[in-house]
Amino acid sequence: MTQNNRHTSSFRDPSGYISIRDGVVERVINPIYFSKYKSLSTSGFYKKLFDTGLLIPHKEVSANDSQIIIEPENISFFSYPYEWSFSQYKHAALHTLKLQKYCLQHGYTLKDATAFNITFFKGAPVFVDTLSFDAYIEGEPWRAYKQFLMHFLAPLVLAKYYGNDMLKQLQLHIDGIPLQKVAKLLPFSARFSPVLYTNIYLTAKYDTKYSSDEGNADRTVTIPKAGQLKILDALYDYIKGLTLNEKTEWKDYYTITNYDAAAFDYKKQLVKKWTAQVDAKKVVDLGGNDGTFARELAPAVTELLVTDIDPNAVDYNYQQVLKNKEINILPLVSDLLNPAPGIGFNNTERLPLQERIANNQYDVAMALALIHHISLTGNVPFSMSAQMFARLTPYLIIEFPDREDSWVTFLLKSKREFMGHFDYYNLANFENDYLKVFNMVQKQKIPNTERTLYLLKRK
Amino acid sequence: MKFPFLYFDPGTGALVVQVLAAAGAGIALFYKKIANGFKSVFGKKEEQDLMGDINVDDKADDSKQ
Repeated sequence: MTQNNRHTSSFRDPSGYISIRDGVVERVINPIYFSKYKSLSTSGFYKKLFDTGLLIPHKEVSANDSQIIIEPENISFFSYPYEWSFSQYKHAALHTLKLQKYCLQHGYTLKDATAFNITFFKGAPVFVDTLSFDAYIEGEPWRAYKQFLMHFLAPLVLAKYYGNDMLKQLQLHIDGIPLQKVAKLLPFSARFSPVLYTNIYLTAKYDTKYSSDEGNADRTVTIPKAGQLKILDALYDYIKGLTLNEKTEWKDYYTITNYDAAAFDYKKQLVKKWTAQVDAKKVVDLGGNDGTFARELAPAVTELLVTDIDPNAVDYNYQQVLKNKEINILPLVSDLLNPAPGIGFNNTERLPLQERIANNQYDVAMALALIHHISLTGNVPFSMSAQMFARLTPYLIIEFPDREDSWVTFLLKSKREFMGHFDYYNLANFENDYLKVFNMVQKQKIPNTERTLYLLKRK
Repeated sequence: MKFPFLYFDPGTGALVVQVLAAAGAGIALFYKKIANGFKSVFGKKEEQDLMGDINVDDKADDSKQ
């Protein structure tokens, strides 16, 4: 295999790289990591990590003197830290700490702890970097400690004080938030937490102090294993106890809908019927709120991605996933008017959300109670939103609330003197623009509402 | 300390500070223990634990040995 198939995100660790061959994800291991890989395999530690759900399982495909190739279990959709809700972010951080403690207890250690090494799979976080393990040498400090703080503790603590937006910091700081910046940003009272004082303030101070002196690179530092375990335990307790109190639009959204329970149920049944009609196995629900509609489909499909702009709705959705042990629902925070872009080296190290959705070949996209927000809040013309949806999936279930719908009326009124510029917003224009890109398969007015549901097929 | 496979800078300061962080962690864990004692005395109800504790159950593995 040549390196031409190398995945664009995989270049940082010289131990190996991810490669795509005929659509199958493989991990190529370089000779530099052979002895470690063999130790991890023969000691049975990899197996333990698979059995405990800490690491994505893999099987060995081939081995020769120049490379070993393994095939990890396929993760069809890869989410990034800046798309996670608060609980998801917390869970990912806790997963990393669990893994490091487990490693230490078995004579290993994590050599890096970036948040990009975690993704959500089958309803839980999983560590994906099979080559991140090293033998633990008694007394050595955790070299990925600072990375953990910059990738996990920093965004979570900032979110505790300043709200959900802070969880998107890794989109800007792909290598984690500088601790000196975090120390400056946190309120004075944060110093009184022994966990924050040592892990943020002191670490920031020591980091600055030692980074200026080149002679320190060879400095030997020892810390007993018991000490490192204490750090992990205290970080775990602290992060697990973190809460975020920020009110958003989403709160009892469905209790204040402008239509009755019968119409709500009618809509649910229709969505179920149509997804079955096109034999959908993979569905993406855009603007899916807390997953209420996606859950109706869950028993019949294999994969559901539910995105929403409201982080509290997504957080509630994730808690439902955990409570009900739902393995086929992935909630994600995303603003359709500003989805996660491609970032990192060459803008391809972390792919845009729209591209990842398109690549995962969902059968159907749902856009319920969404178009009026895109069109009236975002001012996006019908022709442009139609093209956007058509790029994502072959089928689209879309709900159109007409001008008489109370939400639409409210949005139009808020335009004040520019209301006249939105006269185009009506059913006829919607159909006209959307049917240039899609064919109509089904159309159904929802009784006792001003809303119409469509099943469209991409031309 | 030499790290032969190092591909990012762990920061010497961040290694040195771990000794202090361990001491801070000791204090935090000590207070938590006391707080938990109070909670159990006054019977404060815990919310459903969705994320578990840090210790990973190795039983599945032990049973095979």
